[in-house]
Amino acid sequence: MEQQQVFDKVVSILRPFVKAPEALATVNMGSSIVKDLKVNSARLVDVVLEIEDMFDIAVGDADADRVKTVGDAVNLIVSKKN
Amino acid sequence: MAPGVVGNDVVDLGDPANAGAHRRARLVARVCGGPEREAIARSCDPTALFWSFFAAKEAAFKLASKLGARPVFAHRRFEVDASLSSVSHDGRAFRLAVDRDSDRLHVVAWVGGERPLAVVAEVDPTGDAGLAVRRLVVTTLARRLGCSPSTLAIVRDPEPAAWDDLGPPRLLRGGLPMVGDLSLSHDGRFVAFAASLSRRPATSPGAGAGAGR
Repeated sequence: MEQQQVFDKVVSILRPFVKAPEALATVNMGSSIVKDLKVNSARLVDVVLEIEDMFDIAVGDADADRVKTVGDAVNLIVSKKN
Repeated sequence: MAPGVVGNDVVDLGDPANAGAHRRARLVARVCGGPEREAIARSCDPTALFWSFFAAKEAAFKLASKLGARPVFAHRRFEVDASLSSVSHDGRAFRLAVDRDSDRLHVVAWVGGERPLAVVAEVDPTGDAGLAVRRLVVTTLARRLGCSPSTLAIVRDPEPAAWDDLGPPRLLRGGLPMVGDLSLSHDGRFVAFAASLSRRPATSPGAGAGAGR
């Protein structure tokens, strides 16, 4: 799966949980999910579950804990799919 | 008695995204261990109990992160007892206090010292929650300490391992670290904090609880 495809899907997962919608206009691989997009901690669990569903992968606790940026999520998904 | 180390978490029970969480089996399984899931299944208010467990784990994670190397944050690894009086992680137990009404719940976890000061306030949910919670801390503590709010400041040091690249908040009085600890939280319409503080400032920079964390 192409990185850009994964990026677009990750952003679509994050979109409903983002508390700073203006940040979506400039979202990129380096955008922090908590600091820049202001996704709160309760919704981070939802994001992980939706990533598992959309990409048909399992995301372990340690993997989930390392995801700070959109790029971290994209790279994690790409590594599990390839 | 020396002030303890604290963590806290507030949950807006009126947020539609939080409603009916107990019915989402995968969410519950990701967050809760077996005994906690059984307690939720038996509860007459399962949504509030789920969020009580969740908030206890969040509060304990904030606390545990100040006691040593930041642990992996996996909710299930923080085990909350059914009476919501303690939470354990990696062989350590922390005390819990839960303050709940129909709109929100606030959980404080602490170790050492007396039960921390815990304060919740409702704010404009469209405003800057980070600013609102800092304002709440400064006005509340200035009143209790008998000092001007302008003498108090909250700082966070860079911490690359943290989700937001910043370490726990610290309170300064007159530019010096306060002895004790502080934890901030916000969710939806509510902001909250827990504080375990001495009335005196530290005698030298860096003398706050948890080596300044």
